[in-house]
Amino acid sequence: MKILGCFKIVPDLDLIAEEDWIADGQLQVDTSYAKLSWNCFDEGALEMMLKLSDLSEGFDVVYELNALTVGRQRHESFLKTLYALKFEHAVRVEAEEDQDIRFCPEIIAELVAGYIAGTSPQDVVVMGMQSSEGCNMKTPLLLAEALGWPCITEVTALEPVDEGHLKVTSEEDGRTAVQVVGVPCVLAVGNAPSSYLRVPTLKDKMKLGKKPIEHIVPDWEQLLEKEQNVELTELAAVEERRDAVLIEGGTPEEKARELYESYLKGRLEKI
Amino acid sequence: MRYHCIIDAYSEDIIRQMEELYAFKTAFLQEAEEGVSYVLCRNRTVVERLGRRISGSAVAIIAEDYSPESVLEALGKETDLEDIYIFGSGICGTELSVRLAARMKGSSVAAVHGLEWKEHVTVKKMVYASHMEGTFRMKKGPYCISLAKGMDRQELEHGTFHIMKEMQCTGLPESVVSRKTTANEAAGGLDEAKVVIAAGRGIRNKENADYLRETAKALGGELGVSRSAAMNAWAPMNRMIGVSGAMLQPDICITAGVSGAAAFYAGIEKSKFIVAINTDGQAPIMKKADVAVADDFVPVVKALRELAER
Repeated sequence: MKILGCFKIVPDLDLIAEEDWIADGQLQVDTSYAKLSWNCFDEGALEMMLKLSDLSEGFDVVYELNALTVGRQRHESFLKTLYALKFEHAVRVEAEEDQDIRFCPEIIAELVAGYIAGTSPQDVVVMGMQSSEGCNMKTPLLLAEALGWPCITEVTALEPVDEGHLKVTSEEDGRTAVQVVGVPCVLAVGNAPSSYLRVPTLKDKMKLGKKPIEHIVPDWEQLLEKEQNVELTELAAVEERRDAVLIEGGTPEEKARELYESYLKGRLEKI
Repeated sequence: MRYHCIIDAYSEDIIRQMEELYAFKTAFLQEAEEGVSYVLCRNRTVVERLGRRISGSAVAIIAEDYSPESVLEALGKETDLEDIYIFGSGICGTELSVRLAARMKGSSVAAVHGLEWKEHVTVKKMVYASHMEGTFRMKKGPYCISLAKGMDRQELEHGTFHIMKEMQCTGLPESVVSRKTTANEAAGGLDEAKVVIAAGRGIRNKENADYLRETAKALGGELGVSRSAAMNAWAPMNRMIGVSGAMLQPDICITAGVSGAAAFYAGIEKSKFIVAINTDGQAPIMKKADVAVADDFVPVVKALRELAER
């Protein structure tokens, strides 16, 4: 079974200084100095693929794990990490530095659908529900529609069944669903427990991390020229502030007493 | 401009959904023409028994079990290309709004908290992990939106929907071989708690999370955690606070070892009173709290608990 994990590398937005939350004339925010990391939902999706592969023994199923990102040169180290974790094939769809595609989930879905339909057929696509930058919450759903595949959202676990099926656990509103589903399908990963990606061994990094990465260069001019159905027109920073009275005291116990007597006791009594 | 609301009656929190939809339409669609409500349900009795409504008429989209594929097929037959379709803030709302718009060649925006319709339909939503608010122009109808979590609620009109049509959905799609659902264990009243202790990465381990949970109980409250604490399995995922977890509005929220990431803070910003305890006096949470203690949370919380238990 061929499984494609789609992921996005994002800046750690909590490292952006308060005064830097300013949009320029093109409605772009400079986040280039922040440390890069896996988008947390995508990280959960990639780890879920590895766990599925771990469980395959005894099921007579071979999982071919592949990975794709739409990103820049500096994101390639993440693809190398996936090679070291024994992913079979890694692809980077090249995005130019000056193209802001954070609010273009239609384009990302079209690129992934094009790769699957035209270059490398897959049985399953696994990806996160949303990314921290755009917060669009649309890409896996649009991909499913573009491919004409069923989609399961808020996936929290995968288990093997056979070559043509997977057991998928997902969250629905107020309930948990466990389904055996046939492939092909798109699986959008939500709040999965224990979703940090494992760390490859140094030996595997040395041995596997140098495999060549496939590069795809799309016609960005053509893609961006197409009118998007939804367009970002304004971007404003959100400032959250309260009184922030700092409690003074020589010891933690003194501070706790002041906090309790002056601020909490009365409020707790009213509840 | 005409609008329609879509209600998921398979969900236990149908009243909350309806209250959020009602508040949204009151705030932003007063002058628009009211359409019908589409109620996704097992049978029409569910709709009749609600005893409350958000519009005069409803279409019941009926199936034994919820399946997005069959609901989309039914909704697709009803969709008017000029209209606005408003879905709730739940998982099903986001999925259906995006996929319906894609099928009907319209536009969709998920997690919306504001709307304007004049020359164009424009909506507002949080982006950049809640650090910024984006305004988006929706260019093609049907205009499908889902609401952001934790929106204001408005008490509902008493009365019963006039069910103008019933649509029987097809069963589960062929791709589903078997399906079993179980109701989720409630997060122990976190959503409704008056006192919440919110723990972040700075609490360091599961033992401290357990201690904070006991302290929260001693104060008559509940423990919630940040995404990183939940991902470390210091507390179950259903205890997670923030834009992709619980959106709370307790009377008192005490944060311990929380940095104050915007996506987390969105989940506690409606608290009446926020206390921040953090060793780092410069952490963003310290400016977003009513009262801040710059110290290690362990001795501070221990002393607080002793004082409260006296």
